[in-house]
Amino acid sequence: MDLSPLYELYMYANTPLFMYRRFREVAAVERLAKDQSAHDLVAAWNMYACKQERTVEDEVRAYAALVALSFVEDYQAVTTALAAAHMGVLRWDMDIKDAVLRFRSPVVSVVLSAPRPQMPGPVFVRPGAYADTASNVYLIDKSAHGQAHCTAASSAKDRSPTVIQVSGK
Amino acid sequence: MIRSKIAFLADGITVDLHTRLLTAYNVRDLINAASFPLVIPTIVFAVILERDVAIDNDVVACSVRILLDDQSVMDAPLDVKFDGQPTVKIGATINGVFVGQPCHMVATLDSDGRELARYELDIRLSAVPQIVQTSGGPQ
Repeated sequence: MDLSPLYELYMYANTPLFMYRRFREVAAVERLAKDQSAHDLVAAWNMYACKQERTVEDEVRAYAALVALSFVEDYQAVTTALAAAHMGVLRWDMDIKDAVLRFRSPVVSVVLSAPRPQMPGPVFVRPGAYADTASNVYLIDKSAHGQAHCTAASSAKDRSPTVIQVSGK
Repeated sequence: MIRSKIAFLADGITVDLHTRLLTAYNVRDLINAASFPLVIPTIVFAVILERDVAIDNDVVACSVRILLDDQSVMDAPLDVKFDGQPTVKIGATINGVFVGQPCHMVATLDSDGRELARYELDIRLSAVPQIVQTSGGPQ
């Protein structure tokens, strides 16, 4: 495993979350999760993090194994494996473990189309006549004389009617 | 028992690939419309559900409902899968909600007759803008 990009990230990472995100962007870390099981990754963590004379490379390898757990799909396998992990060994191990467990909640995304309601069409009202309708669009014959009376049905009473003057034929 | 941690309507949401954290933009507490009828082209109903892993099912049959003045205009089924985890984030993008008049809009996520999440907002007619004729301008 090529450690150089991880080593560089580890050197200038100033927060655990920064390191977690940047490690996840390294393809080698994702590949670790594909090649090894959650149990193997935790075993690698225990081996490198708990070394007696630990080097920086060991710490990088240990964190890489821990972050790789975030790519393991099976949540139960991850929680079971992590129960056997020795924590409190490295500075940010608890934070990274938290991120591995918390930052993986599934996302359900769905696109729905609201049905278009059947709206009543416009109603033609002759002057002097009454219209009782669910429509709130009234066409008034402007060529005739007299006043048109529009009485909206109960379902349309709270709507403000749209009155359009047209030439009635 | 399954419960919602948060529910809201927004113009859009994004989910961080690495952290799965949800970011919403233009969370709506009110819609001001210049005229009616109105079609809301896109609105997202976002919900974060939480469950007790030991008790609650991993897959929950839900339905997304949109009500305008207590009248149901949409009722769509949605299977929510927790994938063994305690929380799940739901983003239901709803296209083309037809609103005939000013009303009270309610979005709910129901399961088995129980309301898991609810968000409400008003859709109002905004003040009619006036065009003011001013003198001058480019010659």
